[in-house]
Amino acid sequence: MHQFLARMGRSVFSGFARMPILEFSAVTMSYGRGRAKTVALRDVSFCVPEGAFSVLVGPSGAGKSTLLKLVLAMERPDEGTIRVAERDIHRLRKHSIPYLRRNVGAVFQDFKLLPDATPLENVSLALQVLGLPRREVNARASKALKQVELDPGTRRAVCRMSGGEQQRVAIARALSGEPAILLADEPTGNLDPRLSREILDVLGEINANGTTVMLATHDPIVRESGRVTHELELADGRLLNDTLADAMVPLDRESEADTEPRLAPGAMPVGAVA
Amino acid sequence: MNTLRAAGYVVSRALRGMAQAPMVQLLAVATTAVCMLLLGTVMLAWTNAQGVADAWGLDVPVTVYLHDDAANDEVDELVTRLREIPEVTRVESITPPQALERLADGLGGDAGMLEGIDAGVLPASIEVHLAEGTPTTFTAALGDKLDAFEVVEEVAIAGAWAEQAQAMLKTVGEMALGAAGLVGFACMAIVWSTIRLAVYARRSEIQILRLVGGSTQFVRGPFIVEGLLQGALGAAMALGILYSGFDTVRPFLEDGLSLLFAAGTLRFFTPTEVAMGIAFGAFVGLLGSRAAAGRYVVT
Repeated sequence: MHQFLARMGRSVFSGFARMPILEFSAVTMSYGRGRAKTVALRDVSFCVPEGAFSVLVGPSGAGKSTLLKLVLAMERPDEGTIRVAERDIHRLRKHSIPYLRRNVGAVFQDFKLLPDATPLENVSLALQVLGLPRREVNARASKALKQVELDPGTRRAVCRMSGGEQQRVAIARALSGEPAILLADEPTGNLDPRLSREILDVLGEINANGTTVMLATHDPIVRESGRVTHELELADGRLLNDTLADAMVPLDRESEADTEPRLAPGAMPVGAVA
Repeated sequence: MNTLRAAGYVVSRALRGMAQAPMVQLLAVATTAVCMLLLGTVMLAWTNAQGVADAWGLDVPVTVYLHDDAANDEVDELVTRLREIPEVTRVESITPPQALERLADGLGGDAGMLEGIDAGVLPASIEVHLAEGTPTTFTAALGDKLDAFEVVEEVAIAGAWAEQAQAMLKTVGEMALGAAGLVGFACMAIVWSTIRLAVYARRSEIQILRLVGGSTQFVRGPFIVEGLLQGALGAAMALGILYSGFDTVRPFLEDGLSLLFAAGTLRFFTPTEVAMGIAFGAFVGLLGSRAAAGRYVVT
């Protein structure tokens, strides 16, 4: 299983364009028990094709963060299956979960960085987990930092950096392991519009290089950025709309695509928004 | 190779973690050392008391001294007959050179006094060990019967006081074991609380490591190593202090022992025993840190 997950990088999918890299099938998830039980997701099903720039939209409490936590195996669904690269991740044994997380990069609103460490040290941490030689750790961390237009040689602690720079460091860390999917939970939530656009540009570049990006946001700038190819709208734990731009049609829908409208009734075409 | 690199990270992170909170570490190591010192003192006292008892032959209930001209076949026959007695657990023949060697061992640093002495001046003997709980009346009767043999010059029987001394030693031994248990528990508690503090202080890092795919061993490893080092360092410090103290008081104690018991050499722990002591410290440190990090540092 470890070998499978180690090979789960996007290279596995080269030549299989538009294959779903993430699938939710009838997923229900709740927190608490008895009277305190709160249903966070109800019967949610969707596919994210490889290479998509997918956004999860919806008001606070809609279930966006829960959905991302499920992909990272930080929570387990009550019902349904979640497949990452065709593997049911909630059937993974506990000791295999870290191997999944090495292939799913994650970026958070609060950055989750070591505040007193430099950007290079922060990014290196994610690579040390892989047990790579120091030289390779440094090389890959530097490359990831350059990719987000940061100076790998800076000795500044991240706590002395701007919010936008910190988010870039977090993105670089998520990218450094060359993940199959990059998840971002409100990555622009703490940033002003200018910095938000910068971060979206960075994420757009990453997506253009072939990495599937999935963003949970209620920042309108994201929808207006013109980069979104797939939009999932959640409200009260239900999936209201699953909208796919013309360019991205997952395999399981390709046959339907020729005869039926691709968008759910009432859904806003992503292309139109862009 | 990856495992080795990960192990390298775990150890270096543990050392960095210790360096980040030196006062807390120092306090933990010092407190562990105090506990270990207590245990070490009891163990050292017991080891030396056992040594004195051995030198006195308290552990041998019956010693049969043989005539110088005792024929080998007669001695062999006596040994065979002794081995046939159900209450006898062990029979050991001691030749004069072996007796001289034992005497030299007992004198320790003063063994030089025996230089030039011929082993022949010491008699050959047979040491008879009896089953635990053998009545003193049986021992006395056995002594009388052995005395009747022609090859036997003298029979020495450790009296009731020797049994009491042995019982006392046994109690001290049991106390040492009890102390080991208590000290082990105390050290575990010290390490546990220190590691819990470290886990709390580094909770953000733990969360990040989990998010980027750090395995449980990778995340937990530095804390385990930290606890292990605390325990080992505490034990080493205790042994160092104990050695200094022991070295200072040894001459006075040995003089006193010579006067009281005519058994004058005391010894510190052997290198193997020292290593075992440090390993014990490391083990309790490991248990303490494992308990502290176990529940909080999981995938």
